[in-house]
Amino acid sequence: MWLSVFGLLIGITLGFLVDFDIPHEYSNYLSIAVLAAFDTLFGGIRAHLQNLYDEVVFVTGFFFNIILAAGLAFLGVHLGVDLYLAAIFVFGVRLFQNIALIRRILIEKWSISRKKQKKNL
Amino acid sequence: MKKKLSFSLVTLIAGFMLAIQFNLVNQPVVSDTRDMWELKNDLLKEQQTQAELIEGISKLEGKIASYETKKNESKEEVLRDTLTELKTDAGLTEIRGNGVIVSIQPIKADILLGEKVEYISPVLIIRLINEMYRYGADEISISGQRYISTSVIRDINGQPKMDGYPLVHYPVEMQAITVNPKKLKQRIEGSELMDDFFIDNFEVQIKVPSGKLTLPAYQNAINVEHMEPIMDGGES
Repeated sequence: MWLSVFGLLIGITLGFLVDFDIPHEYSNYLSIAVLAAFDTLFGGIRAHLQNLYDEVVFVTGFFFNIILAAGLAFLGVHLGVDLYLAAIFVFGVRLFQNIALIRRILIEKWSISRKKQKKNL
Repeated sequence: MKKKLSFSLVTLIAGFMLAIQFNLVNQPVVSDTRDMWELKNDLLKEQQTQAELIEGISKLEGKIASYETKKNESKEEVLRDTLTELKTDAGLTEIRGNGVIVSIQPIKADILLGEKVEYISPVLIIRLINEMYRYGADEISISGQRYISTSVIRDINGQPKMDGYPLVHYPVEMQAITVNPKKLKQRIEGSELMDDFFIDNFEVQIKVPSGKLTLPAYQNAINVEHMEPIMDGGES
């Protein structure tokens, strides 16, 4: 748990410290990729809490979703259709669902542990 | 443990991407704080760069123009060369070179005996010309008239004529230009044609002159009946 948070922090600091510049034209792709990454990340956390976590599924899903989202955006640019909106919509909805599930699971766990504590008392 | 490690790696990548995206979106707007003089200096610099660029462009354009003219000239030259080549091939130019002189005349003994001298048969002359071409002659002229691919030798009113010029004055002299005159001479001498001429009471003498021969250009206009020039380019 803490190791992953630590990784996130390291990644963020690295990103800020390294002077890594991307052309403005590609910012769309990167934003969608970030969204896809977070979708996968929260999906992974939810799966972990539900004891459904599979490492292979998670890692491949992470990279595959990023590439798919960027590819979709690229296709949209070339077709003249804002396909990246579809990606944003899908990832956004899933993000909210995953976070809601995580919240419910955590509340459930918390309430169970509180009941146990009450019984013990 | 391994699970955690891969998960952390993924979070690291995600964090990195997030930070870069954040940087990209929040690039600070650099406000312009230059005063009048600095602006003027910068403008001067830019103007100098512009002048240099314009100079470079004009230089390159000059180069392009010179290349274009060269190209056009070379095209013209190529066309002219081709035209000369074609004219030479068609026999419209005078040509000089090593060659042989074939002279045909009646057998003297017959003249002494009082026999009437007949004209040379056009068929025989055509056969001789064909043989000579076969033996390596490049260009041929008969009695000072250039023989070309459209030349005709035929009997007109009982006289053999080539392109309208009569071949009745003896000796009828044929000049042929070839790369190897001696070989041509030997091969004509060795051919059966000599016998055919003899049957018609003509004798053929072949000489290889020491100097170069000059064949005249074809003098008539060449009529092209079955070919038409394509006017607008066509598709090559």
